[in-house]
Amino acid sequence: MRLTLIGFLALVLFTGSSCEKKDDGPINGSIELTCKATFDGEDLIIGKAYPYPVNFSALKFYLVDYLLSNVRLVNSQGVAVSLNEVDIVDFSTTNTDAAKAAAGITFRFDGIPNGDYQAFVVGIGVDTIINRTKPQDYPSGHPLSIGANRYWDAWDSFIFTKTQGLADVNGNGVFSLPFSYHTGGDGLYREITFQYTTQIKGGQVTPLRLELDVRELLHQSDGNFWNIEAEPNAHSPGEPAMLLIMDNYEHAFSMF
Amino acid sequence: MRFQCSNVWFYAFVVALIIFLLGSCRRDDPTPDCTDCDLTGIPFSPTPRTVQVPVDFPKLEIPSDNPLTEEGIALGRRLFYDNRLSADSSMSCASCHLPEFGFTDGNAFSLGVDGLFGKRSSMSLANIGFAFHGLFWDGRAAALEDQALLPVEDPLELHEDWARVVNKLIRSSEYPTWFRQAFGINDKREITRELAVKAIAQFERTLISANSRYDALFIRFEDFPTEEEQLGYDLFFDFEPAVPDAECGHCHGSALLTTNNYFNNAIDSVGSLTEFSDLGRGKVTGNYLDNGRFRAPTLRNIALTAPYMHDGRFQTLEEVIEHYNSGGHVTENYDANMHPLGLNQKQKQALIALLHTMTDTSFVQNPSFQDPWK
Repeated sequence: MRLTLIGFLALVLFTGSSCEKKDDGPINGSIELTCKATFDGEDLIIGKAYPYPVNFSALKFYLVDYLLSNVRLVNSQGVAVSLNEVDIVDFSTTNTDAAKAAAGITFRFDGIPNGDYQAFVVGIGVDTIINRTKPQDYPSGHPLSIGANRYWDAWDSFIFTKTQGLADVNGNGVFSLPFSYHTGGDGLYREITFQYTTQIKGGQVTPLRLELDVRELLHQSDGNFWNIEAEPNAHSPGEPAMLLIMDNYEHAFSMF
Repeated sequence: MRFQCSNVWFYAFVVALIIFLLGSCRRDDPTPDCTDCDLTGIPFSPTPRTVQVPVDFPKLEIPSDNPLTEEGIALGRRLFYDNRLSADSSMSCASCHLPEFGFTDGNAFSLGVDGLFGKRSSMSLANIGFAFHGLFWDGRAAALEDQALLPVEDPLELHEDWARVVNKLIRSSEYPTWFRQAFGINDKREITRELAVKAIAQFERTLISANSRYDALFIRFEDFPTEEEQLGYDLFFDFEPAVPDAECGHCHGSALLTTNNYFNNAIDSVGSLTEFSDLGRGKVTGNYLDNGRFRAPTLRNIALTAPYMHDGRFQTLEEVIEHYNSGGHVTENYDANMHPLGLNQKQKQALIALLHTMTDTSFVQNPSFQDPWK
């Protein structure tokens, strides 16, 4: 009888331990996305002068930011895993020196199911659903709250991107012309798909880097660059500079 | 001269008397011993206050450890208007935040109890509960509870010691009861500066202004603007492509008429960003690109809050509009939306007409916001 009881207990223990061994570990992994800004391939530092290929001019940037929304990974079956709703990528407060500019801005997305993924999708701006909301719908600190200063009533839209700075249009080292390009409005939301193959493994963090070359935002299809001196501001829907900038985001981005 | 024993006792007495008198003049009176400190006989049943947040305003974010109650708000209002918060009992918070001036004081720089001027102009408290990005012109206080601590001990303002204020409150015949009713303290000696500023913050969160002509015209659409007011609105928010964009909405957007963010609005001509006489936000953050930046104030009741800017340099709204129309002084970090606007006289007058619609008489005359000691 005693031997039977011992044998039964041993069987129970064995069964229990064998169940534990079936656990294959975490079923979710993470992505750490680092967003960087560059100018013609060089890390963009706020307040630093960069040569601009129009009339020997130069530019200093003081505000470069964009709304990053609807970020998702897509697997081989075309199923998307949503990673965020909306974040703001604001280089004006981070890229204040070379080290910080090199480090970039990092976002971490957790809870991504293990598996193979073939595409990475980002939205620049916000889609029409989010764009029907208002800043007062969001708590302080949210990228779309009133304090984020990202809503323009005249457009009935959030401001998707801001590119601001000072230009030296005479090549004399005097940066006296302010330029300010804001974009927004339902028609200017852009989604960009990167063909990107990766395997997400449970418990592991996969690094990704998304670099924006700000110079390319101002690159026209005819090969010339936007004439900042002629049109230093764009705040009204339909202005060519707004369309140019939003259309350029796709090729201004590089992903690593 | 012969040294006499009786003289020794006399001098000892004089020295002891001087020490006693000096001791009695110390600023930090000890917390009183009292035989009637127990407050538990006074009922504690605070009445929650729900603030009606106006349409198009953000949610009023209230700290979980300082919910609004009728008793807390009433206590805060009494403290806000109480001269005992100053060293010589001549000034209170309200001395620099008078309702009739839109809760400013009408001066470029406020005069403190010692006859010294402060360094910046008094800011409006209209809708101050929605200032989620820091208080003061430079944002050095994160929340209202933090902000209310500072003017009491500022040598240029009330110049009092909080320990002495607390003792005055403990010794008063009324405050212990009010603190008991607001916060449930069991003993007079549980009155603290932290509870005092919590009460003041509660009162300040009720200072909501949303009943101006501007609200009726452009928020609630209850009335029709004049042609001039409509032009001002179109200029302000760039609603009409045919008129210039006066760029006002970038800093003074939303129903709050401020984003509560920090800007260099090009009022100072400096050779470099280190040359500002007042570094503003930069002194708080340590980021030189924040030098010369200040919090954009609300434009609600702006016609009542002259003079304008952090140093009160502009006496009239006309001067303010002239400054923005000029484009101001180019500096490295000035807001890129600053540029010569090219507004004509009619357009400038239209902007001023719009600013006058932002006066909320019902706010500045609200009986609940007036001095309860009168």
